[in-house]
Amino acid sequence: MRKRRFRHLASIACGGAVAGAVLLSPLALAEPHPVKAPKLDGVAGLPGPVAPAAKEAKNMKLLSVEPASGPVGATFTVTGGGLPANASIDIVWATSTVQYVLNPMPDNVEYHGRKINKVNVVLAKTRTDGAGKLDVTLKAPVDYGDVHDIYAVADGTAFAKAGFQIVREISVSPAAGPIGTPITISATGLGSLPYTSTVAVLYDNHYTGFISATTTRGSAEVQIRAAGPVGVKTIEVAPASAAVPYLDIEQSAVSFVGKLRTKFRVTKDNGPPRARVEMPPPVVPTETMRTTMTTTAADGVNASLSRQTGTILTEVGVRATGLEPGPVALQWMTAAGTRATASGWELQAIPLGQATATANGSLDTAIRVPDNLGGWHTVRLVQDGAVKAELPYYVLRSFGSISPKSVKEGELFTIHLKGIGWTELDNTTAITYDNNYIGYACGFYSRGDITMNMVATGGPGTHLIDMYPAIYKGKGSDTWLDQVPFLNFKVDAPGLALGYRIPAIRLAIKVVR
Amino acid sequence: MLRVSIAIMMTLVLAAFGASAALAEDEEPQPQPIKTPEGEQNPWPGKEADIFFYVETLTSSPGESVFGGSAPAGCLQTNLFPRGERIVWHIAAINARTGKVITNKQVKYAYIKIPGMKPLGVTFTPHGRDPVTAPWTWTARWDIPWTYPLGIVKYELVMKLKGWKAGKVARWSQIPLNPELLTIVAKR
Repeated sequence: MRKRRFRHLASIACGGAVAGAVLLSPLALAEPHPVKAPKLDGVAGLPGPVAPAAKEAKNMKLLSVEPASGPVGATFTVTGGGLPANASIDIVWATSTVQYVLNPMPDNVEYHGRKINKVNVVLAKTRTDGAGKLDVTLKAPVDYGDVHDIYAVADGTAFAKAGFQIVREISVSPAAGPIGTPITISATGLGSLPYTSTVAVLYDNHYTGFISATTTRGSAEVQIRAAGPVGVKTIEVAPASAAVPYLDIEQSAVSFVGKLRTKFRVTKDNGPPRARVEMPPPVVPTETMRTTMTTTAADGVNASLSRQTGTILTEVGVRATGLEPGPVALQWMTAAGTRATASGWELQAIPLGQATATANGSLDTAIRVPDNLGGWHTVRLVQDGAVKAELPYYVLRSFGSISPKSVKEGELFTIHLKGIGWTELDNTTAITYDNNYIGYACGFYSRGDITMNMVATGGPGTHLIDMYPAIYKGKGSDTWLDQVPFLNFKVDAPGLALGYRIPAIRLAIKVVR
Repeated sequence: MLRVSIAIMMTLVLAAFGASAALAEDEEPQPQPIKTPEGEQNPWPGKEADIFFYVETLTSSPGESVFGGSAPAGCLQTNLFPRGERIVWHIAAINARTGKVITNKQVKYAYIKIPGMKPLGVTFTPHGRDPVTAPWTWTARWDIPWTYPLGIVKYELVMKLKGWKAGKVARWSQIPLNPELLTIVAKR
C-alpha cells in the first residue's frame, strides 16, 4: 500500500531544508477527469461542426443509403422522400468523442480508462427538391468504426434517418525486407466501444502489442520491425477487447470487425541495426498539472528555466527576479519509493546547490538535472524555508547501453536505460524479443534506472529487442491489460495530454555460437 | 390520457426488478437498489405504470429468417443484428396493480411498432415444444429486410388490456442509453 498522499508536505526527506508554510495548489486535489488530447499533425478532428439539438419528427421516415457500409473515404449516396419541399437539410452524423480519463496529482498520475461522449455533427448541407426528395452523395469521414446514424434535419427537426457503417480497414507494408525492416501497420475504422476499439498484433503467433485509436478518431499507424530468422512470417492484426487478441472473434457479438492475416518475407540478415529511440513529436500539454508541483509562486517572483525538457544530467539555466537578496536554495522535487512494498513512496527534495540573489533580487544560475527519475519534476527556489518559485521540467527517457552486442547463445546481455518515471503512465517499459512480448521493466525503485539482464536466445543471427511505452495499471471498467506494448504511443498515448513524451527504444544483438 | 408503462433496461435490453421489505429469517439478503445514474440521460424517477415489462432481444436459429440470415447460435441476447437475420423478442408483462403475470386472457392486443414497418404482432406462446412444461412468454419476430437502414431502431411496444377504456394503452420503449439500443449493422 502506498503512503498517504501529501505526507511529504510534513516531512520532506532528502535535503531537509524545506519547512514552513507551503501553499497547496487547488490542482493538488484533482479528481479523475477526461483530458483533452493535444493537437497533433495528421490526427483528424470531428468530421463536422457540432449539430444544433434537433427534435425527432413523430413519424420519422427512413432514408436509403447505398452502399450502407464501407471504409473511411468510401462514397455513399443518401436518398429519401417525404421531406419538406425545397428545404435546407443538414445531414447529421452521429459519432463520439473519446477521451482518456486521468488523475494527475503531485505524486502520481493515475490512469482511469476512457470516456465516450456521443455527439452529432453536421456532415453536409443539401436541399430537397420541390417534391421533398433528398439525394446527396457523401464520403465516409475519418471517424470511428461501426454504425453511425444519419439524420436529415430541417429547421431543428429530424425528419428521416438511416445509418452508415464504417468498416475496419487494415494494411501492412512492406511485404518483404531484411531483419529490422520497419513494418508499418495502418488501420482505419477502429471503433469507440470497448470491444471494437483496439487490435492486437501477432507476429508468427507471438503477441507483439496492441494498437489503439482512442484520440485519433479510429485511425492508427504504427511500426514494428521485421524479426528473423530469414523466411516467411505470418502477421495477424487481430481484434482485441482489452488490448489482447480475441481469437474466436467470429463467435462474438461483434464479429463484424474482422481480422487481417498477411505474410511478411524476411529476406536476409544484415546484422544488428543501430539502436534507435523513437520519440513522440513535441506536444503542447492540455493539462496544467505537473507531478511534484504542490505550491504556488510567491507574489512578485518571476522565474524561468532556459529549457523545459531534456535528458538526465542536462545543464539548465535558472533565472529569477523578485527574490530577497541573499542565498537561494535550489531543489529538485522528485519521488522516491516503490509500489512493490507497503512502505509506498513519497515526494522528496534533492538539493541542487545554493545560489545568491543579487541586491536587486535577481538570480542567474544553472543546475544539472539529477541522474534520477524521468517525467515531470519541479525545480524549487527556496529562501528562508519558503518556496519562492516552482518551475516544471520534463526528464526524457534515454538509452544508455546494450552490452555485449554480440552474445553467445544462452548467455546474458544487459540493457541500460535512464530517465524512467514513476507514475502509472511512465514507470515501466514493455519489452518484446523478436516481436514476442516477454514482460516489463520498472525504473521507479531504482530512481529512474533500468538495468535489465536478458538471455540471448533464438539461434545464431540478429535478434531484436523493442521497448515500448506501457500503462502500468488501469482503474475503472473501460481499461486495457496492463504493462503490454502500446504500439500507437506516438499519437495516442494517454500521457500526451500532460506532456509525457515516452519513446520506444529499439535495440538489437547478434547471437553467436 | 394515456398512461405510459416503463421498464428498467440493462445492457442487453434485459431488465430486472425487485422490491425491498423486511427479511424473513430464511430469506437471503438482497443487493442494494441500483444507484440512480447521473447525467442528462437519467431515466429515473419513472412515471406511474400500469404494466411492468421485461424485454429482451435474441438471435434466431438458422432457417428461421425468410431472408436467410442467421447468427452463429440462436437464443443469444444481443442488441446488434445484421440485415437478413431474425430478431426474436421475449417479453414478460406484469400487471403493476395486481402483481400478476399478464397472459393472452387479459390482453386485447399487443404489437411492436418499428419505424418504416407494419406493426409486428406480439403473441403469448410457449418457449419450447411442450406447452405444458415450457415457459410462456410474449414474443415477436422480425426478419430484417436487406434494405432496412443501418443504425439505431427506436421501436415501441404497445399493449392494451381488456376492459381498458378507449384510447388507453401501455407503451414501452428503450431507455436511450446508447450503445445498448437495438442497432442494425451491415454484417456479422
